[in-house]
Order: sequence, then C-alpha cells, then structure tokens
Amino acid sequence: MREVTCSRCGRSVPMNDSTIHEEQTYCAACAGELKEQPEVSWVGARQGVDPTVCGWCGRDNGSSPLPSDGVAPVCSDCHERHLRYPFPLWVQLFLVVALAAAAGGMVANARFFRAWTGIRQANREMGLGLFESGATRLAAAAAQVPESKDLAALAQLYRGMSLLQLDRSVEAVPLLREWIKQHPDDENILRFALIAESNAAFDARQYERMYQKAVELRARAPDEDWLLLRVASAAACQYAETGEERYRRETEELIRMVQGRVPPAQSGEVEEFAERIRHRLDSRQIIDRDEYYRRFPERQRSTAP
Amino acid sequence: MIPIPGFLISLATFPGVIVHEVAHQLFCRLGGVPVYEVRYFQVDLKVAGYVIHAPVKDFGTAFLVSIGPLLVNTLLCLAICFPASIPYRTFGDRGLVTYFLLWLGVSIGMHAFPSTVDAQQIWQSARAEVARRNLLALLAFPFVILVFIANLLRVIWFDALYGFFIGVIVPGWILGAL
Repeated sequence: MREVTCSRCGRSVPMNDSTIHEEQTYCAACAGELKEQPEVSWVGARQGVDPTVCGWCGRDNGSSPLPSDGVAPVCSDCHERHLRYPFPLWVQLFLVVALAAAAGGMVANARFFRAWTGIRQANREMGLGLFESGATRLAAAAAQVPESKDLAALAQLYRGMSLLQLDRSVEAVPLLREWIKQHPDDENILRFALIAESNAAFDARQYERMYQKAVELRARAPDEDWLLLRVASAAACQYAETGEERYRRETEELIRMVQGRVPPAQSGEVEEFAERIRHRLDSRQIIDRDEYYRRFPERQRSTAP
Repeated sequence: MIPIPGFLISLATFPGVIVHEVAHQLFCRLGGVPVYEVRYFQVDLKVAGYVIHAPVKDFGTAFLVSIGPLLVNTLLCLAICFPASIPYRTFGDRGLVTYFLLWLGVSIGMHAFPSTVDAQQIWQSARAEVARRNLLALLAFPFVILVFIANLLRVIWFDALYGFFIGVIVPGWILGAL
C-alpha cells in the first residue's frame, strides 16, 4: 500500500483515502474543509487510486503495482473471477428447463410431425399418380391428429380419388361429394366428382344419368377433348339403349370435332377410344372397356380410358 | 395500437430478458472481457436487466458482446418454438404444451435485438475503428442503424413480430426446405 503526504497539513495518509485537486493531494479531513469554502472551486477533483491495492477486493499488494482492467487496479484473483463471472445456479437451471421444455415439446408433439411428414409423402405420391398409397398414407397421417377436421376431410378426398382410379366410382362418389360440400369452389374436385358420377351411372346401366353428368362435365370445360369424348361415349350408350338417331349424330359429330383438333401425340389414344364408342353405335351393345378388349384384343394399343 | 408500459412487457416476457443478459455475459466470457456485475432480471421502469463489464479494446469482441443476444436469443427462440410451430400453424393445435413453448420461445425471440445502449456502444467503437480502416467497423454501421430502427419500431411491436417470425414462420420454411 502506498501513502501520500497531504499538501495542506503534511499528514501521511493511504493513497486511496486521498483526493487530488489541481495537482495537489489532500487528506480526507483537509479535502472536506476545502469543499466547504465557497471561494474554492472543487471541479475536477478526483479520488486517489493506489495502484498497489486491488480496487475490487482491497487486497494490499505491498509495494508492487497491480495491472489495471480499465476501471481499477485488479489482483489476479479478482481478475480471474471477473473473467469467469459465474452463471448462477438458478440461471443454469432456467436454461436447462427451457431446453428440456423444447425437447419435451418435441416428444409431446411428435404425432404432429409424423402427420406432417405423412402429408408431404402422400402429396408426393398423389402427384406421381400413386393414389392408393397416397390415400393410405394420408389416412395414417389423419389418424395421428384425429382432432383435425381438415385433415380428416383431406384423407377422405384422397380415398375418393384412389377409389376413382381403381374404377370403384360408386364408392368414390360420396367421398368426393362430401369434399365439394365443404369446398364448393373446388372446381377440379367437382370435375372428378362428375366423372365418378358418370362412371357410377354407367356401372348401374343408368345411361340417361351418365349422359347428363357427361354433359354437365363438358359445360365446365368445353375445350377439353377427353370430356368431349366422354359425352360422345355417353351419347353412344343412349343411342344403343334408345335407338334415337339424335344421339348417334351427336356421337359422330363430337368424335369428328376431337379428331380434327387433337395433337398428333394423342391421336392414337383418341382413335382407340373412338373405335370403342363406334362399336356401341354399330352393334348397339354396351360393354365396358375390359369386355371390349377381351373380345377384340388386337385392337388394344394403349391405356386409353 | 395499445400502449403497454415496457416493464409490464418485460415482466410478461422475462425469460427473454434473462437470456438476453446471459448472451452478453457469455460473449464477454468467450471474448475474455471481465464482467463486474450482472442483473438478469429486475422489475424496473427503465432497465429490466444489465451486464456491467470492462471496456472492450478489440472492436470485433465489442461487436460480438453487443450482438450476442441477437444470435443466442434468435437460436434459442427457434429451438424452443420448433416443436410448436407445425402443430400451431398446420394443425391449429391450441394445446397447453404448444402455447407454453410459443410463449417461452417468442418471449426469448422478442428480446433478441441489442438495446439502444448496446447499439450506441458499437456505434462509438465503430467510429473510432473506421479511422483505423477496420472493415468490420465499416460493415457494422448499417447493422447499428438497423438496430436503432428496430428499437424505434418497438412501439409498433416490432420485437414481438420478430419473435413470432423466428418462432412460428421460420420453422415452417426450414421444414419445407428439407
């Protein structure tokens, strides 16, 4: 510890107890007296700092000066303590609890993530045309989150699409119609529902209804060639059933219309479908696709609908 | 816009205040900066928490100490909200676990931005360092301006929006990109 001599009274005092003002050093008593004199300006006065005494813990380092940390002289212990200022136990516990909450939340909400992954995979499969596995996967996802009505409805829709692809239109119709009831603006699914209804009517030999649904479908997308052929197919069934000439004329007219504008890449498929439709006109027999190719296997060239 | 006293917001989102100060302290320790006092949280009208540390001579360290909360609070917000974001956003889950995680995570996220005092410290250090042709100091200026703007926008809940964005929106983006 260093001592300094008071410039006023000559007394020797510890450096840390002194006050420095205008390059003069004062002991605490003299500094106190001077401060009370109104004619003495005390601006710029500062506390004496002993470089041999730690400013944080007060440890005396003898005559050797201590390094400064920018604020005060600091001993090695205090410097080390400041460098490793501890995180209190409660802070450590708080951080552990926060991270544990995140981990626990992940476990508690795992079913949502499984469902989310299932939805993504199901959508990918539906996009690839794998309707059956997509529908199965989405049903599994919906089972993970039974409280989600939207997901349940989507699972039903995918099931409906899968059934439509499997040519089980009768079962597909109520599922697709349920979706339309909840989403009346979903034009795409409405079209699939009409296709399913038209197919179901064909299966039930209700050709009048099949024709109505096909016409309704065409009205929603008048420029789609396959929908025109679907009307032609239904009109051909009507002709085979009733013998009314107007259905025959409509069938031929629609086939000609499509043949006239179909791109070359699709002409083979269109021609094959047209042949099946014409068979109804020529024979007045209504047979399904499978039966047609069973009878005329040499005519099968593609997977046309 | 409903004006709510700052200390009430700090009280309601105290985990964020604690993590903010922990982040400052952590970067002080990593940068070898002596720390004299830490107040992790206090009910105070002006300052909810603080870290008193020695002056930092190196600009890079000073910058990291100041922006520490932006890194730590943001990452922690993301980690805590992650398990709740998909249930909340995709499935509309309103369960206790989901709400608790969102409150905890967003509270931490909304205290991510360095305070005006932090920004002022970087600004002053950067001004001195630019004269010494320190590139990092030059790059720090736009960042500090953004921090000042973010602090100004707190009146329109920018801090809460940031927390929500990091905690609820970003996890969806991350999962979507996987």
